[in-house]
Amino acid sequence: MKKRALAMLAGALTLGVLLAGCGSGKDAAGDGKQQTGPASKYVFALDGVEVAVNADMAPLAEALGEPSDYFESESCAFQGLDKVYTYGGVIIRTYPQDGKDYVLSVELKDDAVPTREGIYIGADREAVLAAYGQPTDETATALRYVDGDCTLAFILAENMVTGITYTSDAA
Amino acid sequence: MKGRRWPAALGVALGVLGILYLAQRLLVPKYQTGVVEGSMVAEYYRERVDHDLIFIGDCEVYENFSPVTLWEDYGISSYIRGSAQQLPWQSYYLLEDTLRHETPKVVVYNVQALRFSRPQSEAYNRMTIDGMRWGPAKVRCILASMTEDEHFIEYLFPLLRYHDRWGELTGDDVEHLFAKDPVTHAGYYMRADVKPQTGFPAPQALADYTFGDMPMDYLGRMADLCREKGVELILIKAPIEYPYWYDQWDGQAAAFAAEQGLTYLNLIPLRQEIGLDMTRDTYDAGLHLNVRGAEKLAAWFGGWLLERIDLPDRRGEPAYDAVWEEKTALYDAMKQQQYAEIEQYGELVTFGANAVEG
Repeated sequence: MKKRALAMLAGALTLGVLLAGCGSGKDAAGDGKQQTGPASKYVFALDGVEVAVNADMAPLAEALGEPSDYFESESCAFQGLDKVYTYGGVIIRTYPQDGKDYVLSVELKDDAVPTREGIYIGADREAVLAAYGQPTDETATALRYVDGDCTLAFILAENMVTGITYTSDAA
Repeated sequence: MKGRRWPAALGVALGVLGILYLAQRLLVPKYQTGVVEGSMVAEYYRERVDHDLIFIGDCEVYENFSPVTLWEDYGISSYIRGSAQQLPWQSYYLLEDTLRHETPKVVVYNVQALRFSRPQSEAYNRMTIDGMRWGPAKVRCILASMTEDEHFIEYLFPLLRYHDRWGELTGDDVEHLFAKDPVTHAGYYMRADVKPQTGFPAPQALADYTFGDMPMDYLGRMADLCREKGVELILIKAPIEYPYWYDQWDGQAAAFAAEQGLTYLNLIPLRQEIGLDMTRDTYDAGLHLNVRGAEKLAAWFGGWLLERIDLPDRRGEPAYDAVWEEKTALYDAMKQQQYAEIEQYGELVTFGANAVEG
């Protein structure tokens, strides 16, 4: 009788040990998401360095050198730092996850920095359509192209491009 | 023989359940040091008096308004049901949960989180949801909040989620196995340090400034629920400039309020009138107010509120006096402790990110 009871207890404890050993891969206080999202054909190139959304920022920051401006803010409850790197007319925002920083968005702020397909601030709507084809969706003020984990948006005013952003689906 | 097996089997089953229960109590994060925000939601259930004013929302309420000041200056009994990155659907279910316990005269909701259109992060979900008492509101809150990697059963049995925390256990996990210390003052998270606001990056241009369907749906539900319960709902935007609050968002919040017959108050342009000095009244360069700023904002907001709504002055009512006297003493003691640490070390060492779990 006692043996059976002990066997059951042992079984339960074994189950507990098994549970403890089968780590889910999630950080207990963290997000648990991994960078497994699909890549996108929409990638920005800055000084020859390809900057894709959801890419690890550390090697990019090293390759790009000293930013002209840098800002960081602590997220609520210390879940990491939201960082903003400015390289001339290009702003790269990152989000923290599992102890690393990943590219959340790339924003082009002036006409000195075109997209790989040659569109820049000040280009007209027709030039965007010629370079990228029909958008995934469009409004009176934006053309949006979605591919993989990236949304490339051209913001328009009076049919002229006034803003260009590459945004991660993590946003 | 068979008859004698049952008590033994029952004993073993209870023993196993007991072990699992203890393991769960031990392994779930305690949020007592450093990241204390995960303790906030559960603290509400300790309250011993009702509240005439309830704040609901994210850090823009729980770090920016001092309920002790509202009590001291106006006799308003208030509570902040706040949590880190509290999303609109979570705010709705926390409101529903709150209204099961009491019926305040006013609910103030901070609109900053309307920018989130979908579930965001398990870590933040846990900090808001795990502390809620079980009931229909919590179940629906979990279902609305889960990211794609989360599972309902892990909320039901947190041991399944935290079973691999053995290596991370600290003294806090043992010390607070069965009881936790309060980390807020009526929901307010205190910081007395100062880090001046210097500047923020330019706002990012957005392709679409329209709030998502999900947050607006839950905001509508909040308005309906408050109407149904006879509670006045007031929408505010805390006087914080970053993350950027776009004019287009402000317009949508104002339009919703007008359509629903609610008051919407954007406090950003009123910072001078409130008396906020962001070189001294913030502890993290302008993202949140410190206690000095939170007291200024509460003092101003209490006056603004009383000009519009008749809230009772509870001072002199023995039950309220007793509770708020205790809260005020704890509040003052923590404030003095924080000022003493800043004086001695130049920064806080037992509060905030610098605090190390025992």
